[in-house]
Amino acid sequence: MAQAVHPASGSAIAVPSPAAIRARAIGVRWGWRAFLSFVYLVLFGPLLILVLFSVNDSNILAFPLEGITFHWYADAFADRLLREALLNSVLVAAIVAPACLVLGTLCAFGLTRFRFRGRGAVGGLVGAPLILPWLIIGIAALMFYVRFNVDLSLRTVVATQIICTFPLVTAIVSAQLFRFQRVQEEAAIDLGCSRLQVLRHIILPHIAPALAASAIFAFTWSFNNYEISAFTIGFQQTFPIWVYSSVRNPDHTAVVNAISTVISAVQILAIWAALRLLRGRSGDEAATGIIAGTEAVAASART
Amino acid sequence: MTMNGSTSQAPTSAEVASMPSPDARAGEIVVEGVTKRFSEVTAVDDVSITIPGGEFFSMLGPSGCGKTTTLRMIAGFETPDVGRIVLQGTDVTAVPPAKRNVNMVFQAYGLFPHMSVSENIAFGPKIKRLGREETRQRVSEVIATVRLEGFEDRRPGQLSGGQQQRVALARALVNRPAALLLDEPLGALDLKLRKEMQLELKDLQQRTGTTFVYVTHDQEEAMTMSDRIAVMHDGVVEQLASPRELYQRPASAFVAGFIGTSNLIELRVDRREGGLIAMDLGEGQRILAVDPGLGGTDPITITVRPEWIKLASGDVDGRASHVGGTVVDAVYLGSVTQLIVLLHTGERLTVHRLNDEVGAEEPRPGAHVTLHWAAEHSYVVGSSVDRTDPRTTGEPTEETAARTGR
Amino acid sequence: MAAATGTIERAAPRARGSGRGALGILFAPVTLLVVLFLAPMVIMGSMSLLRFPPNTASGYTLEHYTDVLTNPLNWKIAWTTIWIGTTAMVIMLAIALPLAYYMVFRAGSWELFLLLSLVLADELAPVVKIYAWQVILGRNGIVNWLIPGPPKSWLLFSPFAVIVTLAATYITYTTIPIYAAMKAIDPSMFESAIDLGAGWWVQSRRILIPLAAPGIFIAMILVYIPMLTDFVTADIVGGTGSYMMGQRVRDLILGSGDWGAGSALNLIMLVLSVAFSLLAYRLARLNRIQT
Repeated sequence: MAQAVHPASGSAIAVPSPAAIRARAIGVRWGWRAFLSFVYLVLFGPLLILVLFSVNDSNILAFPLEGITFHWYADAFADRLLREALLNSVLVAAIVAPACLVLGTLCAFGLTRFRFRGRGAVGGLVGAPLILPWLIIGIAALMFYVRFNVDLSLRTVVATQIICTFPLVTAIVSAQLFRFQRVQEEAAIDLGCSRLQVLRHIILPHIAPALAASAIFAFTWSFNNYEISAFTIGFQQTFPIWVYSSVRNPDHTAVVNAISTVISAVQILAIWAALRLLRGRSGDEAATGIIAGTEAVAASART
Repeated sequence: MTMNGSTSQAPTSAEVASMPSPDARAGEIVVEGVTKRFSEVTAVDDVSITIPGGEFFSMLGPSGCGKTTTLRMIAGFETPDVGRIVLQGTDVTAVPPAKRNVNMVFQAYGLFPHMSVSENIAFGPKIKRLGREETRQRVSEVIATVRLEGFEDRRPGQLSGGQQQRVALARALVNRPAALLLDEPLGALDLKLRKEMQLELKDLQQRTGTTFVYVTHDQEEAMTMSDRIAVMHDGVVEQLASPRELYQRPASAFVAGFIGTSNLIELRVDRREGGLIAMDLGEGQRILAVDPGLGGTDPITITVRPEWIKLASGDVDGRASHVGGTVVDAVYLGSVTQLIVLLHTGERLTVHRLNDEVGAEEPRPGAHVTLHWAAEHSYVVGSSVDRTDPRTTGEPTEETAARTGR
Repeated sequence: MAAATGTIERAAPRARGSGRGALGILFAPVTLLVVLFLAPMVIMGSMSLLRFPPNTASGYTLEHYTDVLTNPLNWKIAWTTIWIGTTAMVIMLAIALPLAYYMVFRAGSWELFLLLSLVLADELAPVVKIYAWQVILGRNGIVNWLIPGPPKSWLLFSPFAVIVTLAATYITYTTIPIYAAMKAIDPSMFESAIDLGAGWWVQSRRILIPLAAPGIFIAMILVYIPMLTDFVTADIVGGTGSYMMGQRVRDLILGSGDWGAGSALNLIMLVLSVAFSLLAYRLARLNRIQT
């Protein structure tokens, strides 16, 4: 930090030369760039590796690469077990997401718009699945099902996933409801709206982006989930479970790469769309706040 | 477009239903003995107000005085614990806000961000199912009234504060309410815009003839626009009168202090003669006031407006107050100079001296001056009001009656 | 939340039925939570107290707890887990703090893009990401390919691999709470600090970190506990030297079927997680911030 000569103290402090200041500024700037590059490498490196090897004409995960080929993609779609696993994942997610949307929104309304005595406790209960490790929840669920002679199957996966995910929807929708100006509601009532009409014309349009984004987040989370599924599933497989079991099998690895690339591409597009939805409605500032706020509150998208 | 019972189209059934006596009571609001409590706080304490149709009526007071709560009770967002709200002759105390024929302009506007300007304005008629043609016509009429032509398709986020303000107004007016309730609507605007909007609102009210009930804490604003003002304090109406009345004959020390600048003086009753009460200060100095005729020896509170106090040079009239003091502050405000004069009794008087003489000598801080003012300008606070009933319903003044034809 | 609830007082019609209205709306979610979340926890607790779970007739005992707590293997595993997790946590904070700082104060118009990148990167299936690290760190992987000399086998199937992979996977959730906390800092504080002569280190130590502290605590709640209970990462990129508590519990339950020990360990971890979360949350609140 350049410091000036202090006339009061009488003693001069060394002032770096302009060249030194410039050099330092340049050094700082490149330092940041290097750091950011490192971060991006860490964030997206794994995905790039997958993409790279998915077209590698060899089943050995080694550098250097051999030729380019797309036959792994063909193999992936021909693999019956993989197809079943994908289907199962989609099925589960397709049930989990809407259920979470409904339950989560109900909770968001219940917690933000009413005051009642047990509110803190209910809020804590709703937030708990987000904080507690999925390992513990998964095992507890497993024991619960066994204890009551419930067969483990996709149904049990759905049930437990819903419990773990709808708090996320609650968090996202609550954040939107919280920012909602009550004065709009009063204005609507003043203009003659019934309670239901206020909901339909004013509130739902306001939270629509949050709802859409929540649906996409919930779907993706359910699809990607491993830990809960591993404990509560029967003899079927979901996609992450399939990946997990294939990882140790050297013959399968390239196929894993291929399908993972496809799935990741789809997910990235979906999430990007979700975030655009959140942005478009309320403008950048609000969107940043919402994203930061909800992601901070929700510890989700874990394995 | 006038509203005084002569609408350009036949009123819809909804409108007829809400106007039992179209001529006598149109736009009339009566607040009858209303009290409202929030937990331990009494926000509104036995308030009674009658607002005739077509009046620009303001409720003025500091925060927490109960003015907004009263307004919300008229609108229906709060329910009185005691008392009634009567709109156009009908008791609406139990009627929910959606069904009352009044509309509110909120302090924060409450515009719907996902709708355009015309959709916002059309919202009320749409909910009331007025039909597409009727709605379209009303919307374009009211957009012209508030001068927002060309903005129909913009979103609220794209408008300036003043424009948003007008959309909020239009959205309320399009419903042709019996009365318009405004909750400090100009608070978010800058000074110049605020003054412009005050005049526009006043003009709008006179053109449409709709009853306006306006809430503000800015006494200048209330004085500019209102036919009558209710000055409220701690949930009680201290005085309800026209601006002139409030300024010249304040009913209480609070009103005297709240409206304009005042000099409140505790007058000892030293002697009475010639219809005057006098407080002697020695060395020929005295403060005089017209004797209200109540008798007694307790000190009375008087207020003197700063513009009535003159700087004396030479002899003083026998019927004038006469005090000496030292100038402690002199502020040049353009058209007037404001002097703060410290009397030897310890009180400070604010004096407004008109700067209408070129080259006139201006007193400096430290200068000794002699002040005088006519005894009639010492207004005994509260003396014009029936002391047994400080909360007055205040019948409309002749001015208001003449203008609105009621 | 306070603002929203404050205005609730104003709406006369609603205030009365607030209890009943809330009950109606919240009935379904809360019931489901109780049945599918609380009840399983209770069941798990009861399993840990049965002599031969899941046989409910076998009588109650505390022996599982004593076994688990006196087994030196468990302590060793706990120790491994803690040092792996803590090392990963420290590395992540070392990355997240500068990253969050950059995003808030230096990135300008790139801020949103960085935020989106973080969120996007996290949406990829974690299993897939972890597996990719296997590729990166392997004997024939990219790291070994880039580094001259013989391939280093300790890169993979080792504590090193687990630490690196954990750190890489949880960056998003570490950075975002810290980012949110830093956004609330008034930049003029740094300006006055500079004006008073503080260099970047002093600014960080005295201003940035204390004010971002609540975000750091929240980040730890979101990340530290999941890392300590992780088993997937350890399975895929870890080896014998990195056997973690999550794997231990999983093996006890799904492997050897020792539900007694498994559930006892699980419950202990549950209690510790809750205690840790409460503590960190209290610390975050004490440092006064809204997240």
